[in-house]
Formats: sequence, structure tokens, C-alpha cells
Amino acid sequence: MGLQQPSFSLTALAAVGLATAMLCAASTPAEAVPSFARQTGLACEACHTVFPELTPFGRRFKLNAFTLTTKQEISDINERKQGTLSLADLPPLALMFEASSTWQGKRVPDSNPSAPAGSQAQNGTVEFPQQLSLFYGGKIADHFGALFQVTYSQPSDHFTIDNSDIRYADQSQSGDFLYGLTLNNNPTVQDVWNSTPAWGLPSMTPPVGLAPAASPLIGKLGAQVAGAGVYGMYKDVFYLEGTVYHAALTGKTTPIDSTSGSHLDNYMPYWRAAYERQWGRHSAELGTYGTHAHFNQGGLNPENGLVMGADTFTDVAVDGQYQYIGENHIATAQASWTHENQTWQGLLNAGGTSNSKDNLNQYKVTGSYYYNRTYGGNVTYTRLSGSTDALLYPVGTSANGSPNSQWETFEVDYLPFLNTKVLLQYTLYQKFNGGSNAYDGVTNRKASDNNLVMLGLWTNF
Amino acid sequence: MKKVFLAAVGLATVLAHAASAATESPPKLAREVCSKCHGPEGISQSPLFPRLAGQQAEYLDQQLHQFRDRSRGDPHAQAYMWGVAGPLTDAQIKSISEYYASRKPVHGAAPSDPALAAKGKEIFFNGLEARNVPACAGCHGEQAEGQGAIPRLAGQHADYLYRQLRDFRSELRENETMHANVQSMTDDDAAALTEYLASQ
Repeated sequence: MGLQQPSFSLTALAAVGLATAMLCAASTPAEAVPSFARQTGLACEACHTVFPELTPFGRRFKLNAFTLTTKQEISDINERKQGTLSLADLPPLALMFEASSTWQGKRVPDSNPSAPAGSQAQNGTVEFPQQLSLFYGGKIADHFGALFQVTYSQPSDHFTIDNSDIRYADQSQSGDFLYGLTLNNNPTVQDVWNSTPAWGLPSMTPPVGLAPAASPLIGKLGAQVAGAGVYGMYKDVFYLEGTVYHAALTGKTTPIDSTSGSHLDNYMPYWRAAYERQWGRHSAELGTYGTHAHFNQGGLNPENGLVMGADTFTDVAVDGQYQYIGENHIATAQASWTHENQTWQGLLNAGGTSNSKDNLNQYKVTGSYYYNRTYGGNVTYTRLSGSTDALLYPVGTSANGSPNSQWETFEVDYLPFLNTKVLLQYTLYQKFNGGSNAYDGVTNRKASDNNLVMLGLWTNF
Repeated sequence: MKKVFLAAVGLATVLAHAASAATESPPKLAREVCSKCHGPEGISQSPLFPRLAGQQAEYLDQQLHQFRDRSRGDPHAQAYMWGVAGPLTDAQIKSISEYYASRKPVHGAAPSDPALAAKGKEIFFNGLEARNVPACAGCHGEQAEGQGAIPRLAGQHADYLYRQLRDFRSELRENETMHANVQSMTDDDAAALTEYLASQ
């Protein structure tokens, strides 16, 4: 999934712009890993309210590097009686399968530039699978565990590395202080609250359809970067983390050169602080996270290689979460506000922006309710607002050069089993790339034409 | 960027140093497994998980054996404890039970509904003759401290106790004595009783 700012070859043709936006509407990460249940002997409900949202216990399990186990292990010790091996009898493997059928409010133009004018794509898309993932999720050795995900998707027709998080964790003798290290490939995938980009709702997103042109950088670096970080949590209340990322492009030439496309330049720091309280069946979290990144629009000028200059993004987010986990009723809510400052140098030099500085704000609020972990659903409200920039959001994407968008997603779920979800999801756009009517300035398309209905099946085993 | 790395290393050093400031060492299993739900020292925060601090060792030992052989089958026992207790040895069960029994129990805060707690106190000491509910204090003790295989109830989460009463009544949780004792107990009675016990 690449940067969603339009590249320079896309500044005019509406059809091509729409096709690009469609490519950017990639699914968000979504997991619940039965190999953890096999390793711990705990049912799904120990770690998840309804998957993939984590319970307080699920958060502790992850922070402890996925190492809690109740199974027999092949082990060894050295002369000082220190453990040197603790290997599961069977590897902690699991599969995730998603299938979907999706309908758009109105057909989109044919993505083939040479198709006759006015040609449209088929409406009604079935993906079987929408996503098929193979997981290794569990303990590797004492205090050392990992979640590896390899995913197949129907449009790409191949397997590729997906969310991966390798952890080392330990705690003080009293149990008050937990600390650890993480190696991962997606900023916020290591996070344990569901108010951050990698784990936010909706957790299964439509595989087709148009997505707004803009979104904060921090949510779209998955499988493009790799980072190492350190974290600590004191008395299950205060959490602090710092991670440093570097570009780690998949499917590109190494070392990175002008053929690699846009990529992170040098190192990117990521920070996270959170405060969590639990009382009775309630828990609440308030936190902040963010990053400061230089992004190189590599390949824009083959003669000069990577010397076009870097664009700089600073993302600062404030997030919160509330959970009530009752015997029969579960209600949760998440909210986040992300502010992004964009300073353009490379893109400005290449004529891809009108302004030297832009900004973007994303507001997101979600709420969910489930009865007996069987019947329920969730609602997500998202609003994007940002600077008007006629070259960054050109005609074909936006009639007025604005990224402003607003939409809601309504989802109804039925879980016949704790590890299987049948869902009906409706995405409803009020504003898309700056407008409600004829928003792209070319095709007379309305924001509501991008509404989506998805019927999905999601199972983990 | 060196500064970022140095800051990360510095933070790691601070964390590692803080971690070495150990207090009294609980058994490894209690620290690495049980405490994840039942809290450090057996004082859980979530009412989903019972407080174990100061619980009777014989009761804990008996319950862990029942989880291990799957003879205690209420829903939460199945979801959580069947898997956890499955591989435990008799020696480990004994060690864990004695450890938690040796911890200082917590006493509950003043009841949020004093009138309800007063009704619960009446049931605890005198039972409900009309519904064939005997006085709980007769077996569980005047201070609800328990004895031997009869559990301590004082200071336990009201929510947890309420669920146990419900599971005894529906016979989801095995215990013939308790089946008979709570068969005619109403939800209101159970709410009053557990409100009182949680405040002790």
C-alpha cells in the first residue's frame, strides 16, 4: 500500500485517478490468531471482546511477547540452570480466511486508459478469498515471541509479508514493571489499543471501491518500513514506547535507488505514551502517538536519482478508548484525532503540489456493542479536513483541490462461533475529496456514488 | 539519528534497572501465568477473575484439580482454567495454592448500597427460611473467611460471587451442597448477599 498522494503522471485523467484511488483502498490489517489459544489453552474471549479488539488481558498477553503458554515444551538448560530452549511441541500456526461480496453505489470508470470513453467497470465484486493469511503466532523461546503474517489476496494473486511483530519482554519480580523490545513492519501494529490505525475499526474493509485521496502517513506505511523499539508499562497503568523505523520496501530493488518509487528517507522516530485504568468491568485509555518522517519521492527524476529533496510529514495523534466487558453485554468506544503537517520539497520541485506546506486532520470515532459475543455491530465516523492544494488533489481527483471527506461505516455482525464472523457493512459518504456533488470536476460523480455495501465472512482457525 | 538510538538504549537501561528491584519472589508459575489475570499477589482488578490472596489452600488445591480433570465445567472454567490447569503437576498445584493462601487478603470497601448490604448480611447470618437457604456463616465462617475446602468469600468481587451463585443454581458449576443451598435463591437475594460479602 503506497502513499495516497497522487503521483505526477496522474494529474489529469479522471479515470486513471479513480483507478489509483481504488488501488489505495486496500484492506486494513485484521487479526485474531487461534494459535495463541492453542498455546495458552485460553478461549478467544480471554484476549478478545469480539475479534480483533483486545481485552485488558489480551493487551497484557501481547505486551508479554505472546509467551504465556500452558503446553508441554521441548526445553534445555545450561550449566547455570538458565533456559536455553523452550520450543512448542507443535508450531503455533493458524489460518485466517475472509470472503466478501461488495456492491458500489455507482459503477466506476474502466481502469483501462485505452477503453472507449465512458466505459465502466462491473458492479458487484466477489472475492474468494478476499484475504487468506497464514500465521505463526506464539512463543519462540523464554520471553521471546512473534506474530508473523503472510497474506494472499485475490487481486494480487500472490502471498506477501503482512503484519509482523517480533517481541522480547520481561517484568520485574513484583510484576509491577513490564518492559520489552519490538521489531515490526508497520507503525502502530505493535500497539495494544484499538484506537490506532493498524487496529482500528472497521476491521474488515471492502476490497473494492474508492477511498478518499488523503490520509495521514502513519496509517499507510505497512510492509514499507521496518523498525526496532523499546517499551515499558508500569503497574498496568503507564505505557511508554519509542521505535525507530527505516524504509524496508517489499518487491523493490535493493539497495533503494531511483527505481524504487516513493519511500521513507533515513530514519523515522515513532513515539507512544498511554495511560490506562481498569475498574471493575470497565477500562479506559488516553494516549498520544506520532511520528516525524522524511519521504523521498524516488524515481521522479531518473537523471538525479534520489536528490529531488524529501517531503516532511509530522503526525501527532491523540487517542482514547473505553471498554465495558460485561457477562452478557460488551460496549466499547474509540476516538482519535490526527494532525499532520506536510512540508513539500521533492513534490514541490516536481510540480506535484501548489503549496510548500499543507496540513491534514483526521477525526475518527467508533462505537461497538455485542450481546453474548454473538449479535452486535459497530459504527465508525471519519472526517478528513486539510489544506486546499490544486496540484496535490488535482481535477480528476477533486474539483476544488480539497481533501475534505466525511463518511460513516455501519456494520452488523453475527458470530455463530467465537472464531467466525458474518458481517453486513454499509459505508456512506457525505463528502468525498472536497465535495458532495461532481466532486472530481470531470465525471459528475457524487460522493454518495462511492457508497458501499459488503457482505463478508471472516473466520480464523 | 544517533541521539534517537541513544535515547532508546537509555530507556532500555532504565527499564532493566527498575526491573531488577525485586520484591519478595512468588513461585514462577504464579508470577508468569496466574498473575496475568489474578493480579500481582492474587489481588485481581477485574471482577471476571476471583481474588486469590488469602484464599484457603485446600479450596484452591481442590479447584485446580477440578480444572485439571475438567470436573468443574462452568463457562469461565472452560474458557480460562481448563487450558491453564491442564498441564499442572500435583506439586505445582500445591505450591500455587499455598502461595496464594499465604498472601494477605484484601478487605472490601464500604458498600455502595448500604441497605442492600444490610439485607445481604441478614441472609449471610440467618439464611432465608422461606426459601430453604441456610445461613452462609455456618460453613463459611463468621468473617466469611472460609475453612479447608470451604472458600473464603470476604472481600471477593461481588460480580464474581454473583456469577458463582447463578452457576450453582443452574448447576453449571458442580457442587451438590451449593446446588441445594441456592436452588430457591432469587437474583435479588444473590445481589444483596454478594454486595455484603464484597464489602467485608
